[in-house]
Amino acid sequence: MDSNQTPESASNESAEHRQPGERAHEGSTSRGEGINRRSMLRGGLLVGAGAVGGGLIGGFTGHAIGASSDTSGAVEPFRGTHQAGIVTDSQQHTVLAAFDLTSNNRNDLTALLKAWTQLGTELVTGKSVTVPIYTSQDSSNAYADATAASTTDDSLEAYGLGPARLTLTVGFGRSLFVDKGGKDRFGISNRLPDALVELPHFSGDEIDDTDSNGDLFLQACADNPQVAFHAVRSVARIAPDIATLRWTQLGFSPGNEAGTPRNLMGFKDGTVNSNVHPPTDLDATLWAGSEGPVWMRGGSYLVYRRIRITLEHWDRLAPSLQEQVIGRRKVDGAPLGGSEEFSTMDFEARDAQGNPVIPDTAHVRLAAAESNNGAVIVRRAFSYNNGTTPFVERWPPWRQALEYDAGLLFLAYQKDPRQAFVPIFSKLAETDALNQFTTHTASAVFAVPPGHTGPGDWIGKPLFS
Amino acid sequence: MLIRLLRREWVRVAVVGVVLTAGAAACGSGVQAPAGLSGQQAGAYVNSQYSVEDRAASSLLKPVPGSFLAGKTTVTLLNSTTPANGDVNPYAIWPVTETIGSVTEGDILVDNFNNKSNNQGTGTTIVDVHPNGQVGVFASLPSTVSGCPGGVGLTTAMVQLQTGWVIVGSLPSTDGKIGTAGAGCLLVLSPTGQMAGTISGPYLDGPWDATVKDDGGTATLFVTNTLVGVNPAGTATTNQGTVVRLLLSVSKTDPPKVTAETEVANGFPERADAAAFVKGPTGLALDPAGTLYVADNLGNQIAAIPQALTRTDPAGTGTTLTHGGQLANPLGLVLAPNGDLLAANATNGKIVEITPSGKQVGEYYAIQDVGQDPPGNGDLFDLAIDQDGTGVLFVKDDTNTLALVH
Repeated sequence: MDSNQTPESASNESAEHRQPGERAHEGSTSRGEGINRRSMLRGGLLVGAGAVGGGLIGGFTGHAIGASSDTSGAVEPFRGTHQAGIVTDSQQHTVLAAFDLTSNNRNDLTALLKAWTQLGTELVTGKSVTVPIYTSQDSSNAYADATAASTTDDSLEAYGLGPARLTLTVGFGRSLFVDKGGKDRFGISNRLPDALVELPHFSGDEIDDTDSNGDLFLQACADNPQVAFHAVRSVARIAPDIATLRWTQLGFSPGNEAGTPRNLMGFKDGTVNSNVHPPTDLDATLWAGSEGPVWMRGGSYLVYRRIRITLEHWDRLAPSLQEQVIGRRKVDGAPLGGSEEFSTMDFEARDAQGNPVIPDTAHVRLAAAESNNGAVIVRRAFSYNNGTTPFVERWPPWRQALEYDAGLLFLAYQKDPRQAFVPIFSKLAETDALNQFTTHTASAVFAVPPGHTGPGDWIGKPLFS
Repeated sequence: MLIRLLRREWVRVAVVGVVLTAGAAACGSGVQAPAGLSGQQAGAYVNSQYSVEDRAASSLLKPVPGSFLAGKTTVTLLNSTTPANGDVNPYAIWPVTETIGSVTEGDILVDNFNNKSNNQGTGTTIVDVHPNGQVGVFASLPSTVSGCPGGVGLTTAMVQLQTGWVIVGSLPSTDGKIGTAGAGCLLVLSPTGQMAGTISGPYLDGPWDATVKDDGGTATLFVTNTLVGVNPAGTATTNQGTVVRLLLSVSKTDPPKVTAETEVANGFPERADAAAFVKGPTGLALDPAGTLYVADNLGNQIAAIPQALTRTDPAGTGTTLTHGGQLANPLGLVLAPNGDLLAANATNGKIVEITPSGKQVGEYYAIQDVGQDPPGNGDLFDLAIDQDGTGVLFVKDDTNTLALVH
């Protein structure tokens, strides 16, 4: 951008002198003008907020939106029957975030979801926008009284980067409906979907609870890592004393442009039942329907698993043996015995010695719908790399070493986890040849409600109707 | 859940030093193979840590007709041995032959050496694999127990007496390394899996495996000690491993008590080992004539201790029943119904059959998992004959499962 130009959303007020729920004053500074220093210092004026679509919602402070100087990258629509970011072509980066709510006030929750929806609608355009700061007197955050509310200014790290196909996908955790004691939190416990299950313990699970679950979930995907992070950061700023971050996780993917992307094991990942190659009947496999609560129709259920892959161990295995573990060829992704990536997997085929061409414990055999009574999930996989941490391998020789904390962010969307992920993974956890290289270290299930359809609607509205 | 596997498991190619060309990885696809796939896999047996004997044991010994292993070609995977608390690394196997307490005839008890941290010497559970494949928890013990120096890390020393009492060894650590290992103990559990007492003393130092002659009111328990004099900081071998005989008084109402203890063998090689935690005398099997067989892991032999039930002094390492050949650092040892011994190789996942005269008459390559190097390395531990007397139960430490070859 022009060094003399100031983004509209940077010309905004500090919220520190405002009382909760107080409406901010609207100012009238023209676009492109510098910040009025005196106004900033006084802190009582909202400068420029109303100039370009800035409005107020509920107990929120000012809000402005302005054109970006760079609109590179397509805009993924935020509105729709279904939320974006589920079957949307994979972007190259993701930031996942889960939040816990410190308030049990239903009005806080609905106000938050309205704000998430509104800000999400604007963020995906790639334009610079202000953040609607929400405050509540019900917050139990210990720091709430000692820390000023945030400025509404755009943090600007994504300014000029364009939309980058940003999608934001919102989910509700089971703990949003009932607390650990089974107590209703927001008057919605009777709307808890049966499909929003607590996952059982699977063999080999090493789940870190601090990186798992959460009341609210936000999946930001974009072709630019800074755009994805900016989105989560901005949403998190709305009410940091009410919706506190529980965990975040960054991921990356080559994207789908060059075909099915490869994961860190070097194999194509998502040839079947991924957002790259989805099943034909999404209503039968992906979208919640009349079998569950009305408010979830058109939504989906997300099972998130962070799967640490012991790359050091994997790299000791010859590619031909890796192919036996996966059940596909490494270079072209063809199933063993097949001619190309999309060849039908022939689970009956035997070699000259009578052995199955696709081994009995090969990952693709055990994960296939044919092996699971037709159960299907729609995957949206990213790799992750959290650096290195001390690790003790879960198999002989029980190596203790500093190893990559890297692997796969398994994001599996489905109509009902009880009919899909749970039975599929129950089998995989026991006998998948891949288990010797993988350890599940984080886990969550979220109800991902349907999309919002336009003005007046917001994500999750049917839940509270 | 019973899942039948073929004789050869997921890896049908036990590759040793095979050149893996790019063409192999992309065969038939018509896709140009990346130049980077013209690599070569390290071959385990050419590596210096593998002995001449290890290499020799990689050869094939087809079971001779009439041997116990002859005709056994099917592996049935019984189930995972990982309970909900995440314990892994299954060691001891005990097929239950009488319904008593909370176990039922046909059940199979399996203990775990590691907890979910994966650190060796921290496992606290004994799972119960039922005949229908369902898995329950027979015992879930605390990580520290008064009277058990160092805590709890359940070993392959596990027996159940006719009265239902279970005696299980502990060789504990806090971090999976021998430097924090304690001498451990024998834990005594009630027939319902509750802690009922401990057995410890100077005669127990790293109880690693056990076998029992159960006479009802009394029982004679043999235990290998594999931590005696082991230098936790070093890799040097010390010849101080022992076998002790404990005479137990047993009743239905009171936990078994040691009434006499005798060292019946000593001088077995032992040493600390980063991968295996500790190596030393391990598997025990007692024949009807009172000869005790010892799987001498580092000596790569099966030793025979004569008059083990009655002798009053140590026999040293006894006599060598068999050495080398198909043996590759034996661990678990069991007497087959035909009187032969079956030994579990640590280094290559094979089960080797040995006659009472010391002749090796067959092998079964039970675990060929190339996730370890050489394939199957470190994956076997305890062996047991199933209740039908026709199959061999073995743990798969690579996948934390229990399997049966029959």
